[in-house]
Amino acid sequence: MLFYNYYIMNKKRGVVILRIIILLMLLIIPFVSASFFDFPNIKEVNLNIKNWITGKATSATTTLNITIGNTAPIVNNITPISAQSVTAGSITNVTFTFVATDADGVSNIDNTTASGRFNISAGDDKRFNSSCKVLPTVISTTQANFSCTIALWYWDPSGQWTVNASIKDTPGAYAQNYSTNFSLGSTTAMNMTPTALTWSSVGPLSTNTLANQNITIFNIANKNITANNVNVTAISMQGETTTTEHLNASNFTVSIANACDTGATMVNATTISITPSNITAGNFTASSAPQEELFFCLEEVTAGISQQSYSTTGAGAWTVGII
Amino acid sequence: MKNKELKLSFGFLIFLLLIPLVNAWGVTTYYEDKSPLVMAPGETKDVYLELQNMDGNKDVTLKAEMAQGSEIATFIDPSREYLVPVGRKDIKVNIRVKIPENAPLDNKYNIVVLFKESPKIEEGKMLQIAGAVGTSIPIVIINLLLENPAPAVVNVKENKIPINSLLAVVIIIIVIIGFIIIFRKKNK
Repeated sequence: MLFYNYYIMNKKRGVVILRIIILLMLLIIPFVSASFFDFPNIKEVNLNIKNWITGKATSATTTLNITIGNTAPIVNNITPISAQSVTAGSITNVTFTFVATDADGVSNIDNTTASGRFNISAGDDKRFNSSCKVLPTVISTTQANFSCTIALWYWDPSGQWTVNASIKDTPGAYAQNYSTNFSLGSTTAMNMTPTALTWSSVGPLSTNTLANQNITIFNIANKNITANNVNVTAISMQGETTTTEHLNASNFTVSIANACDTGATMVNATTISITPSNITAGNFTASSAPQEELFFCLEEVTAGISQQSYSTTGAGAWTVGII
Repeated sequence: MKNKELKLSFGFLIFLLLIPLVNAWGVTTYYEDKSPLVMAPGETKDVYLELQNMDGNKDVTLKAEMAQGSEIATFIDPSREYLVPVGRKDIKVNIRVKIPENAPLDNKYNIVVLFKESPKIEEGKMLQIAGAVGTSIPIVIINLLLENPAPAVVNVKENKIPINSLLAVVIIIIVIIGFIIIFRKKNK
């Protein structure tokens, strides 16, 4: 009516206003769907209006077949693991807990699939427990707490290890979390046997006499004993009767070969590397156990000393060491 | 014959089982060449090593010795002798590391600590041997200021007003101005 009156009164002015209104409507239209007039139930309102106009029935009986989708579980809250060290010659049990969350309820979690795994990027060493235990502590209707104990062996390499916890739900949906790390220190330890040596019938003129025993050293921790890091510190052996006489340390050689004249010559109270000895970390009970054998040779007897027993009892024991 | 073989096998088994009991103490460091102790010139840090005696059958007393690096490292503990009871792996050996002010950058130090067990003197043994185990703490000297520069300050202005709303307001203003212009022309 207003437009009509304008048209009658002033045709030119009416045309201008009409153009402005059309322009305004065109400009506003894009914002209707964006957010300006974004009514949440606008479809429902439109449907009702349509039904009202067309007379279509607003209700009917129908059969619905609804399939509810499974929600995959989530693994989180892995407890932090402090810095660890291996146990020489044995295992170290490391325990952590984690929480499995399933929106479909704890009954949907397959407890038998709870697993823990330790990985280290430096190699393919992996330690795992595929039967972590569910803890009786109830967190909520959708969360279960699990405890996992994994054994680290004494030869497992030092460095940053990644903790991986995983689980499945009953339909088989898999979830894992590997956001936690721990540090494994570098441990040096050895097993040496025997710890005493004897020589049979050594006379003043004896030369190149090997000891009756050789010493075997096993690496029972995770540090690789690299070349020249097995050493011996010798002490001149004191006479048991005439204590002022000594069988000099320099009369002895130590070698990784079962022979005299090939080893390192000892120096009294001085640490001497035995080349090229080395012992990598590994399972020392295996048939190919990483080990090193040391052979001790009395190259010659110190000139001028008397015939008596000489031993380390008075001056002190020799030392075999690894670094 | 079979009985003899059985006895031999049994004896060998006993030997294998006894092996871990001979000497099962060790020392752990948390610093290695791949993860050295990083320090700056003039800096002082306290670090520790850990002694263990887990598989042994007796307590051991270990004597510590600074074999290398004594110019920058000292033992903090009052005694150089450490008693490591059976079943423990947490006996700490505390060491203080002090880097000189004039230490050249990228210089590397290495602290080597040896632990030696005093052997029990046994009569009739000509040459007795004690076990010694050592470990090292590699140190790398760096300029901490260069390694950890202060984070750059970034001013991020949050755009809180939606562009759509702003555009709508602008259009409405233009329309109103248009109406005013039209009405003014009309009045003229």
